[in-house]
Amino acid sequence: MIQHAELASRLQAVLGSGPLTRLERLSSGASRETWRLECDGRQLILQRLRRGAVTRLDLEVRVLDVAAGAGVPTPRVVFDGSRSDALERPFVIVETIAGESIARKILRDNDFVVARRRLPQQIAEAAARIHAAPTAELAALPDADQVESLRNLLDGLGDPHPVFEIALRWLELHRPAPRANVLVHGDLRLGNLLVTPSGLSGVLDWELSHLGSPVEDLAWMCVRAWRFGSGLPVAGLATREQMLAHYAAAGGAVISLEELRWWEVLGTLKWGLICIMQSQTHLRGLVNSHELAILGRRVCENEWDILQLLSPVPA
Amino acid sequence: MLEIVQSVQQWWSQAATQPASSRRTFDIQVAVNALDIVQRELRDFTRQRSAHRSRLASLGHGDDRSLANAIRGGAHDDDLEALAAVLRESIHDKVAVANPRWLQSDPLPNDPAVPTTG
Repeated sequence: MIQHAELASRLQAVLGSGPLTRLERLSSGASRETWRLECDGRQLILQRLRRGAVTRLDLEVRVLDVAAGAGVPTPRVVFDGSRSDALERPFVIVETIAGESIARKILRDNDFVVARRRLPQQIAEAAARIHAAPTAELAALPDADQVESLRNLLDGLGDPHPVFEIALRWLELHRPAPRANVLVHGDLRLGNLLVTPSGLSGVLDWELSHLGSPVEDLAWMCVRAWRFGSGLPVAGLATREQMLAHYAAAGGAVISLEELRWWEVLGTLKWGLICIMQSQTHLRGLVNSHELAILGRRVCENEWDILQLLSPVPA
Repeated sequence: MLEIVQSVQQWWSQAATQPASSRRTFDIQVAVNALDIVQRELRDFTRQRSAHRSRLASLGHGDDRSLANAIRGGAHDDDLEALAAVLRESIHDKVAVANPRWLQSDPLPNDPAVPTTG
């Protein structure tokens, strides 16, 4: 394992810079570690895969390039180490973008009053640009059928979940007309967007990007977990109609509420399955098993949301 | 349920020897929340379980596994939405135990920056 000082000197060599004036570990996700560093007055972010991670970092770097070329605000790649062994494992160094990513602050703090007014249109524009990006160089991205992927995921979890089965079956029986595959971000929501007081400044976390329907990204923002307690369905910021209108005005496809609903059912199911997986995982710094038990009990929130989407009770 | 009570009990006996910290305050909130869930579950568990069984029986199934398999096999394709309405009662019970606030609609933000009409 590389020690802290050793990592700093290897980074200096990689960057061809002066000595690092800062090197600080920010977080440690399931598949990668994130560091903040500073050299020659520049603020940079290092992401390095964990041992045994299966992520194709080289593909992700290519996605960042393609998205930037399409006009999406993304972190500029300073050094592509996805095929390098200079830090023992694949890595990438990007420039820092200023902005807040904590959803509850963006939705509630007075600093973001102006940003909240602009964000629905800005996010819809960013989505339209992502979905218009050329995919010729991205053919190696996953393009699996989402319903089939979720069915396989559910089968791996063991216990029977009748409501999730209803969702899967309903999705199978009501598939919308197929659309040409586009670049899909895969985790577009507050939390993965950077926001300054004047609005959207960056789109982060491209780890789950793949090829698929553009509606998937728009519907994922409507999953109730990403509203953070706000009654507005799209990321807690806008109505569905507002978002679809902004998206079409920005050159995106014209999408019906019905097609959006199909993908919302799929997104809610996906989030429910992720919650089950998290509650089964004794990692991620969850010390007490009652925390895990609580997470597991809250899976029924997703079941409730699915039933509400399928046959809403009149208010 | 038992696993929650055991875990909370174990945690308290360890935490009692630790100095106060913000992490500990957070852990106490988590533990209190867990005991809230257990109380709600104890109060209503018997009724909920038998109500869910009657609903399964009304659909012609003895347990969740049998219902799940039937749905997967397409046996309920013609009445999926009616099925959803029946299961809603059981899921309502579960959410009422796990997080009753989830059953209410979230409030619209009281924020002049955010337009609330379509």
